[in-house]
Amino acid sequence: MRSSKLALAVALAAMAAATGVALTHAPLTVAGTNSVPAEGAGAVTNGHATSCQDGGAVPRGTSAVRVSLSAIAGPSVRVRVLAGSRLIAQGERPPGWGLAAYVTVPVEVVRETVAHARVCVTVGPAAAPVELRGRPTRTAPVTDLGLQTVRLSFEYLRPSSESWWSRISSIAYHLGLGRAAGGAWLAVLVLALMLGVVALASRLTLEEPLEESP
Amino acid sequence: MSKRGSTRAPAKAPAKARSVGTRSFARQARATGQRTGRRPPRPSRPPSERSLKLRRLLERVPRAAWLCALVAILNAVCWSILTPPFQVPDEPSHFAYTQQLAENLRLPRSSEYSFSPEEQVVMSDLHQREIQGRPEARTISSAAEQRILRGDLLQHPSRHGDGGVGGSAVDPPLYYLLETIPYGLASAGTLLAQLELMRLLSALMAGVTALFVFLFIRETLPAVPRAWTVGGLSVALAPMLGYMSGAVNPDSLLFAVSAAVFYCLARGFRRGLTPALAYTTGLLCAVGFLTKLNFAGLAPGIVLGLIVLSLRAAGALGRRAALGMLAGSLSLAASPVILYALVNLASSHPLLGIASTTLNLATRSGSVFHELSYIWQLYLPRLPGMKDYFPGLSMPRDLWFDKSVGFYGWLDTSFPAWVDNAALVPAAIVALLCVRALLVARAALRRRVAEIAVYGAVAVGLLALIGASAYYKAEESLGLAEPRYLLPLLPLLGVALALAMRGAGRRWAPACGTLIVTLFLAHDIFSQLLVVGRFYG
Repeated sequence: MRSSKLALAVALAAMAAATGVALTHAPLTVAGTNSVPAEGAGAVTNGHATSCQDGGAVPRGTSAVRVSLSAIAGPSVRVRVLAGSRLIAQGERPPGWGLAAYVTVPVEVVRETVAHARVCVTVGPAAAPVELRGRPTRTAPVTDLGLQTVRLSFEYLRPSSESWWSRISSIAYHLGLGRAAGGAWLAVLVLALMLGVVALASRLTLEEPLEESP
Repeated sequence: MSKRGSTRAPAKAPAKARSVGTRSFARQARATGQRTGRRPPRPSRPPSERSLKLRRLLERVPRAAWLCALVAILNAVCWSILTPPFQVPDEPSHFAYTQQLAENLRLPRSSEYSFSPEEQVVMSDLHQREIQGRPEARTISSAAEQRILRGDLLQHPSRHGDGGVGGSAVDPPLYYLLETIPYGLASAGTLLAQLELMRLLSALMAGVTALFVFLFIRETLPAVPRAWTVGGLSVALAPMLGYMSGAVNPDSLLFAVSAAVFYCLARGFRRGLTPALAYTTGLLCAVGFLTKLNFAGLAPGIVLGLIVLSLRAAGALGRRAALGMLAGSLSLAASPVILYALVNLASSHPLLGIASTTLNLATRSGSVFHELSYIWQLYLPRLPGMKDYFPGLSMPRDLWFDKSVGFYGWLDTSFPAWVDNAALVPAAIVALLCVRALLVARAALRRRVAEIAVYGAVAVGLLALIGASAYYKAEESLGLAEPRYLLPLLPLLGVALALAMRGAGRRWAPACGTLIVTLFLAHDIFSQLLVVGRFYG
């Protein structure tokens, strides 16, 4: 029983600490783009392809690149940010991502703004076609287009200046919109319910079982 | 059963007669109250036989099981509030199905997406299509957008669609019929009020799921009461259950029915099959068939279970009685399918209605070996000599595991890759502890091999059904690899977690059990934070 209590105390403390730390982080926001709209070109790639494209200005602090590739279960996607021939940052998204209109690839933090970057995208072996959304570089039937002939949309993401903590009141406000009975009180209700869940679960795990079956 | 009922009722009178003095009486009354958790029946109005039977049945359910159910309900209610309207897979379609039943009093006519004007207005004002599949897009965030939504709803757009309800049209109607109750109760309000109340009904079903998972573990591991709580509570806190049961989706009823069927099978294996249990299992199967087509995947294993249990019962009841019991339960189970087919046949419709068009895909020719190879690779690593159906993907890891860690919204919201990697550590520890418990208890396992085979057959049946669906729908095959389709097997997860607790050994089991529960609690809380950040951040 004592070990159980200790385990619960440690686990709850760790959970509270982790939540606190997570909320000190800031959400990623778009710091810049390559100005290519992510339109449905209808082109696809079956993977095993690389394309290096004009990336425009990559802002300082960029820690992820959102690329206009979409798939049900996407292949690995590797992104390299180059200034001339110098590698500035790179990162890879493992396979399995999917069902979103973009793939976000975390990269090493870009220390200084790169005015005219080249961004190379490498798409790994794909189990299903990957849709390429962007602007075709030449007029051709959609079936003839591929990773090299579609300019993809790049969005450069970096942490915003506000942490999750400082956004709590605005989040509570947004949560109450588009509801039958709206209001920030919904956020308070969820918090209260979850505290109830934590209390109930804690009590149940600590309870000595009263019945023993044969 | 009735005999037992009649003997228990008068037993209360001697209890009174035994009491001596007011203190003793008060003590006894207190003890009775503590045991039952309710007041004794009023003497002026004796409860009926049926209510007594029901009360005794409910009293046999441990308090911890009810609390697990409560945790699951509260958790699902939280998810129902956190997830914006129509931002769960196919919720617009499931809502439209219910609306079609409630407003037009008819089953859906087609799989076209021609929802009612009211639903279309709400979806448009909430920017549903712009948000779906775009994790960078948020829900409505200004008072002006809210005013537009309210203004449009005040125009009272029509609630009558033309019968096209989208993908859910192939689903059987039971869940939607149930959902017409909250839909009707909130009909004086807006669509949003109806949707929220309908979501709450799904949340109640999460409670039923957790309750039966607890009871299933109690039957399978009767000697370790703490394990029942650990397994039941962990399942109650599973974020995928809360997320799906916090939405309008027939999966929530399917999970509850599946958990109840698992419980019935386990009860049969532990206590023997009785006619009541056999017919209850058959009835639950009928409910399952009326809930979702996926239930067909569980059916072969359940039938096997009923056959094994009937054979065992033949010794006690006689071969003829056991055979009759089996035939009765199977007839009951198959009755909705047979009735539906007969009605369609009589009215010159396809044998299985709209579902026939889906099932027709499965009749296309293909090599059985290829199909088996495909299904194998959907879940397990490819073996030498097999054609690679999923190049670049490790299906167990990249799809099933990672997407079990987090896959919310319209399946467009997941944790960063490092979280999936980190989750491998506790998952591996739990798996090792589970294996250790199985090795320690291998002698007992050998005695229960038939029971384990039946649970295995139920699981394999479901996996095969999902795999076959993916194989025959090549264009969306990977989209069918969703962990939520495996949630009818939640009772098996509950037992695995309970075993993991036992695998830690007698000394560390309590602490291990606590850590398993808090692991699921943390997973749930961080999943909710992920969803909050995605939609409202």
